[in-house]
Amino acid sequence: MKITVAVSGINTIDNPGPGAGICRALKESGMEIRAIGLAYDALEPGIYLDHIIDKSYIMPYPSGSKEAFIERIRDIHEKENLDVIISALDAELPIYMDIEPVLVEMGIKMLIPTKEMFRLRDKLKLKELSEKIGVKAPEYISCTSLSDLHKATEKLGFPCMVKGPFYEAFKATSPGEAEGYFIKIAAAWGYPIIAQKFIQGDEYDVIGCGDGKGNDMGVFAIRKMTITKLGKVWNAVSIRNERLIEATKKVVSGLKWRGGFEFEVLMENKTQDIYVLEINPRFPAWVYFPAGCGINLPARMVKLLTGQEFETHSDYKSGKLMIRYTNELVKDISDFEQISTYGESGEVKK
Amino acid sequence: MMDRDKLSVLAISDSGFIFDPVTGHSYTANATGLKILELLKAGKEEDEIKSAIMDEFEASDDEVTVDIQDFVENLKKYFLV
Amino acid sequence: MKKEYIKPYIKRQSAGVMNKFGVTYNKGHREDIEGIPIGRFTDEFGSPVFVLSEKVIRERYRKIYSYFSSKYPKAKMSWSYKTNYLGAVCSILHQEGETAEVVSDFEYEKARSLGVPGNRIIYNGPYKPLDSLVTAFTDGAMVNLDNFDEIIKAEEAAKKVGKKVSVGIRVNMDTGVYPQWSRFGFPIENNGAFNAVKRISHSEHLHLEGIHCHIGTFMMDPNAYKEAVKKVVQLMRKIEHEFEITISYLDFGGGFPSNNKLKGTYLPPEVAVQPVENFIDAVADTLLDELAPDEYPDVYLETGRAIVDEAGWLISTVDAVKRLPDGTKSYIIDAGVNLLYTSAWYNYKVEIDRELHGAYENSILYGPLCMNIDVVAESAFLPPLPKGTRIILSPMGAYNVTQWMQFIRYRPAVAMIMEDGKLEQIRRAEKLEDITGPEFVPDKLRKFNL
Ligand SMILES: Cc1ncc(COP(=O)(O)O)c(C=O)c1O
Repeated sequence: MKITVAVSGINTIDNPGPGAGICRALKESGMEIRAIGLAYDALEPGIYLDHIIDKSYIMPYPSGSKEAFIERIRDIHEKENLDVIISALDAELPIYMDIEPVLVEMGIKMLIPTKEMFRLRDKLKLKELSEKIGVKAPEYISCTSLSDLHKATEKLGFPCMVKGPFYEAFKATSPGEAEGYFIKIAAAWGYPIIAQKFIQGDEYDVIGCGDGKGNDMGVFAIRKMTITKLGKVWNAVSIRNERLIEATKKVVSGLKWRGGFEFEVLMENKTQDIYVLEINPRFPAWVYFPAGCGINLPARMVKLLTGQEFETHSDYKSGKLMIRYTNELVKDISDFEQISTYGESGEVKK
Repeated sequence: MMDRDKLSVLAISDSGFIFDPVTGHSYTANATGLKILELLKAGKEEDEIKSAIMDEFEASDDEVTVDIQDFVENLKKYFLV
Repeated sequence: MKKEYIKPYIKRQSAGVMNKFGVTYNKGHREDIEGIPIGRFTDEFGSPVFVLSEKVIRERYRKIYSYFSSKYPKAKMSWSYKTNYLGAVCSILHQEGETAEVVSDFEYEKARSLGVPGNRIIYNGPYKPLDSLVTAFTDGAMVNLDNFDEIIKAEEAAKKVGKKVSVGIRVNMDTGVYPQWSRFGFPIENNGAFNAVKRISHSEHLHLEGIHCHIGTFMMDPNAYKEAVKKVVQLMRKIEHEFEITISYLDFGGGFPSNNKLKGTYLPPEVAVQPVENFIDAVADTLLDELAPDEYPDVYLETGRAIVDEAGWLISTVDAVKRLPDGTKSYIIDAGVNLLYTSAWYNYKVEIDRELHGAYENSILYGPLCMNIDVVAESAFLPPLPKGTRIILSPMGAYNVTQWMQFIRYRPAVAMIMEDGKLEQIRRAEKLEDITGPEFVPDKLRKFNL
């Protein structure tokens, strides 16, 4: 049985999306997969990775109209007869959550979080999230003015973390430093800015997938060894830490999580207590790493959606190493012409 | 006089895709745009281009005059003429 | 036969914007509003012209009210005048059963002149002149006080009226939404509200009847209303317990969003803005959770934009086409920020009155004023528009026809499509006398020779 899966986030750039990793995992799963890339720009590298992505289409931006988005998918569906879409970008998830019923009617299946789950991933909802999953959250106070910040840091003490509403986090060791970061973040990202208690510890990531009914479809934990300037993991090592795995399973059972996710936590050095930092409501860019170690979550997801048996174990070895590297492809300007003028790579399908 | 040397090297594809092998820039144009570009490349003056366009398409003199000017302004912006 | 002419274009491809499909699907054109061709509005009333729909206003109102009242038995709604105080609009909502919510002496008088009885008016706002308080108390209006000085002013007004009068207080609180609207009313958190109640309970002239809040406008998260309801009910309990006062109404203000695209939001409003039912659920479900049936007070909503915003359009006309020195395409249209105060916050939906071919470009829409700030849309994705193209901007029903100003140009007509499909003018275009009427030129300035 051939299964056609469309995957977004095929921008394997310096701030990589997970799409190419998902396609590679699917191609190596033993299933007969036709992988369709959904790109937003003619230079997303995935478009040119013919060995793992069979064909790519340009999508309208999720910021445009919902109808346009549905129309484009309908268009692609007519040509490709899609079975599954795996959405892998935060910015487009809300639109998929919205149109999922329409897709189901077309015969396209997805496993994505509900709006309520998506809401909980908001940095300002960390307290609520931590209560729901029974994992601690570092104390934090949201601030919209310097006087808020002063009050907050008085309460939290130094050092403390100063974080933006979307991106960026700095460790401040004095009121002056905290103020500096506050102004810098506010200028770039606006308010609110979060002052967070500093906890001495290490950061870990766990990838997982939930079936939406509270059952866990497999988890895999890593310690980040090197990260890029944008905070993305570059090299990592697999670990087996039962407390961490237990905590992750609580995310799946406690929230009845639906779809792939990345659970970012901090483990306090002194106490080994786990603190939740964030949940990303989709597979992370390093999704191939667990697949290479026997926990092929994209394949399990596709099997679940297409009614096939799938494994749910989390049996993997610690000490596996992920080395990310950069590479160059040689293509022709006509390949670029193709995607940029017709919105699809390769022969234009009628 | 308009300098048209740069136009002569452009690789123009029927799809509307244009590649400039000297600068590495690429462009997209529509059929009307391609037509004007070909005519410019062939050394035609704006008046000749206008009548060629009006022979082929249903359009008013005023509209085409303004549009050709606008198109050439765009080419200048891209340093193609 | 000659071929159809399509305006020529050439465009350089640059990283990040090589997505034709991002936008070519975005072709928005509309030839009519509720079946009436765009040209008919401009033929009858000139350009620009605001258009409102009676049908949409009634439908939006009924949807909100019937949902709210099906969940909470003592649901009431009061029309927020500032959102749109055209007589026709207010009258529709009064016909539907809404009382009037006003925030100034002018709005108060306007409501009275439309025939709203004083005791069907809610009088809010941070500034209420003494005279207007006297009138409001005499008429038996619901007055919500904003600050301590106003409590004192209200006592003075009550003394003049010569009877003990009922008042409410406006409160504010942290609902987890930023920025917090803390400048209006008394803060619940540091006991400011409680102290205000204490002060009122000692007054010989005032009697506390209700609690009012309005946590912000265009709220994106219904949970903020859950918080607001919880905190206000807690306050109510505490007040009733400590002072033996019975609170007869709670008023949660307005603030539900409309399907408008706020600047700085990424997703389209159909996705980013939650349905209004979710907001009503937040209010009503929390009320039902927190209250026992025998203590249900009247609960008011003062929903403004969510009722009327999507019932309005502005039709305007392209007067000139201009390419800026940096290559950006721009159009001068006959409506500017003088009419579109809200363009500072929203990226309106921009539609054109016909199907046009040609390459879509990010274009700027400039208004007709001689001011650099007169930009109606910074980046509208449009095909090349010939002069005379009508541009339809929406949603337009909320806060434009009240916040517009007479600056440089006359204010245009406002038309309403009635439920039966008839077209009515509900405000004519301004004339010179409308503007010079209130003016006086001293005699010695009247003569000049040029
Ligand atoms: C007291 C009060 N009530 C109601 C409203 C109406 O708000 P909205 O149009 O956001 O529903 C406002 C608007 O500012 C207000 O100040």
